Amino acid sequence: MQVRFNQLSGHLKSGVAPLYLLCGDEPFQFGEAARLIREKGKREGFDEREVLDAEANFDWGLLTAAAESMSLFSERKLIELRIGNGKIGKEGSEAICEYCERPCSDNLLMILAPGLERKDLTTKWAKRVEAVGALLQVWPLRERELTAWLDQRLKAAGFAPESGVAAMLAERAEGNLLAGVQEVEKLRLLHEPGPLRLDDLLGNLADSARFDLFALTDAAVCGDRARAHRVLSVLRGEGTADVLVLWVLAREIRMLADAAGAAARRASLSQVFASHRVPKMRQQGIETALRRLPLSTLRRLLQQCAEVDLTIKGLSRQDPWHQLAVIADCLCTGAPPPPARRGAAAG
Amino acid sequence: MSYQVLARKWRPRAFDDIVGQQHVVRALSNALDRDQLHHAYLFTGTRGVGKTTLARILSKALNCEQGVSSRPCGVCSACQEIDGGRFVDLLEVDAASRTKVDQTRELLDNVPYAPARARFKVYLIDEVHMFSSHSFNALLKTLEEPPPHVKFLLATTDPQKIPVTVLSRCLQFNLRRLLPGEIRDRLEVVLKAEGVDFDAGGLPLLARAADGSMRDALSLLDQAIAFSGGRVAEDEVRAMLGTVSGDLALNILDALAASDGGRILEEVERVAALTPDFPELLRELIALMHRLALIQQVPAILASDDPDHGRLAALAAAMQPEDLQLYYQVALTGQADLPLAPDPRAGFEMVLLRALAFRPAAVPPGKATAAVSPGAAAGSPGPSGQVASMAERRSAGGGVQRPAPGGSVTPVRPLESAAPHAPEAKAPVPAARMAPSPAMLDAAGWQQLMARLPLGGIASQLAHNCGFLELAGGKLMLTLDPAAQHLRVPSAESRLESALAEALGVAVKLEIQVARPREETLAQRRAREAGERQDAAVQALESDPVAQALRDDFEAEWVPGSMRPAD
Repeated sequence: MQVRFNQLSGHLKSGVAPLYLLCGDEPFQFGEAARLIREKGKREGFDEREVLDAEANFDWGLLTAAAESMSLFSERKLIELRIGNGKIGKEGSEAICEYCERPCSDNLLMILAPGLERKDLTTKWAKRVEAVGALLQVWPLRERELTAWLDQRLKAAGFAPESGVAAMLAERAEGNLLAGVQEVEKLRLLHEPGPLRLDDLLGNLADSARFDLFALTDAAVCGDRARAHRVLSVLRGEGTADVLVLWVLAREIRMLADAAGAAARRASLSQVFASHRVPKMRQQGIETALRRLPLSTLRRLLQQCAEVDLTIKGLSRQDPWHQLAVIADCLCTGAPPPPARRGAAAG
Repeated sequence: MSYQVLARKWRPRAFDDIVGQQHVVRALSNALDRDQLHHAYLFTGTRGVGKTTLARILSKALNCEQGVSSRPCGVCSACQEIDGGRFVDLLEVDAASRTKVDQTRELLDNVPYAPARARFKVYLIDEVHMFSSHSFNALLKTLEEPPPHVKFLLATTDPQKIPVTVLSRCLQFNLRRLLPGEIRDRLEVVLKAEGVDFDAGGLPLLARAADGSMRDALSLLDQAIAFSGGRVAEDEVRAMLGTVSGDLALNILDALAASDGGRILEEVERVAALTPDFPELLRELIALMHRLALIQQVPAILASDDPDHGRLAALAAAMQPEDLQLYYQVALTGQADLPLAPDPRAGFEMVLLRALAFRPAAVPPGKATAAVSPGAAAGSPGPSGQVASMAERRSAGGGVQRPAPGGSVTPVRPLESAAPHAPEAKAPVPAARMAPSPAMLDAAGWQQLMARLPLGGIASQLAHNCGFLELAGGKLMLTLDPAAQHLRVPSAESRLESALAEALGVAVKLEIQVARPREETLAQRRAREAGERQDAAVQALESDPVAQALRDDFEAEWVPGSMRPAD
């Protein structure tokens, strides 16, 4: 049988299957699923827990031994089989098939194989497992699902999030569920339960380096040269990775370029803002910034971003922080950036 | 009592003492006060920012005999013993020296047993990224089902190396590097408390050299106190730290600002003794010049606590913005040439000397005037004209101007002295460019005039096909080629008339006779010239040896009408 992650709680209410195969590439849901099964097992009396790490040269006899030896301290036993790289070979396949032949009701087998590929699921042993027990695959959440999920998570933590909070959180977690959960945990520590406003999030997203990263684009869009420069030097001083700074600048310039393009076509900006998820409170500032930033300048700035990328990747021997400072300054003043220096890139 | 180094003596013992990690301290304090404790924490950050310190304070807060709170009392035996590093229920492990799985298992075997005296058994695992994958697996098993009396505090400089399965079981806090300002303030507090004399100028230097780490800063402070004999003096600190690269770039820029070639070479000599990375030094120089240019425009960019505040401000004031731009440009371009130089030092020196060479030489104001005046007096567009036009371009563009090639002209530096003369020098304009006066108009002048008249369409064709007869009493007699008689349209005539009136400055009345013009008209001349060019082209192709060979060998023929002059 196949079980989806969001069906798991319901599935576990009606009892446990004799064995579970967990796979998929999303670590948070994977861990959560394992935790739920483990907890359920404990309630069902599987008190002892034996963990087998199936790495290269794993002795598959251990699985059989674990299945057949009676638990010393409790009646029932949970066996966790972890397959690190998803490859179990012929021996492993046979051992698992053999286990599937005679599943013992005193044992609960949980196979954790995060690296399993699609074609591995069509193998004989995987089919056997699916027939006897349950297969649970986890998938990365899509943007909208992630927002809904984070919203739910915030509410479960006792917050009443303002609209847009979950979306902002999802955006900054960059699709990483784990990062999102950690942020929610930290918010729970920093704020009392109750209403959660967007400002709380902006000021206190617990990782303050991240906060300053966005302060850079804010300052640049506002045209505050001194502040932009200050933020940049703080970021550098704190050891923020240059790729992150480039990412946040390039993302902003891409959005501005889209907006400038829309303005040139006399199309409405609200669509651009919607597709780039620009919060309401920033939109006014961006419209002002567009007055000093023509599309041609923004395109040139994007090219500069590409140059910085080359520098960061080691293809050009310039100072990436200096290049980033030039880009931020151009955003502030609206002055066109200096021409790209191909010659220097070759050096 | 034996001397204890400052870094250990001043290690924070309470959350309030911790500098620069407010976001973490607040979250942890709240967790302790509200009893929202996680069972595992992971602290990440570079060396000397407070990972281990924070973990120790946290274990004190957990085990203080006064109860769990964010303010451990610091006097009870638990707090005292943790500070002294001899508390039985705080197990500090350096993962770097215990990477093997057996050692980890040995350590974790004790997890199920209750703490000996305290509330919680705290495992503080430093440099946890050094664990082997087996060790991580063993740790993970415990982390997944932690007994309630155990807390894990993990610290690492390299969270990337920790498996995501472990990461997802910990609450992760990223400690940031400390800013120079924060370090300097802390050093000041320490020095005041220690009663050590100090110069305010020395501390920013130490803070910068510490590069974001408080422990390094305090160690350096110890060194500085020993070096300067019980006090902290700016000069001594400079001497102790050695010339840091930032200073080298500043020294070079100082010499450049003074346009003193000798000093530049001296500085490079001094730098070379340190065997630096010259391309890197050039990049630093470029970044520095960019900063200076920014400071010139937006003075607020220069923070008052910058260690080089004084020198940067002085340089920004001393250098001309256009010089700075020129040097920046030269250095930027020089980057590309540096790898081509036989050795980096030579390349670096050449870049600096090039910057000086391209800088317009300063000419005393009196001499500049002298250079302009003779030309202006003679009224000929000689060198003075060039000087003036250069001055004009400079003042108009405000940008960098390379000196005109040829070397006959001394570029004038003080724009103010040259600018007033510019109009004078501009006055004489070549006669050819002047508007023709009606009296001077003749057949040749007519053709020149026709070519320049802003006319289009039939009017232009008409003008081109007319020959000049005479101009008298405001009447312009023209002859029109009979072949082009169809061009004589009233509207075209009136347009030609008004265009002529504008060009000549007087109203003229057109009178066109249809007759063969005495001299060839402009249209005829152009047709003739086109024909001549066509003939020349045919001639050239016919006599071309390659074409000749092609024709001989392959019996090639010209496609009729395909030969055209190259223009």
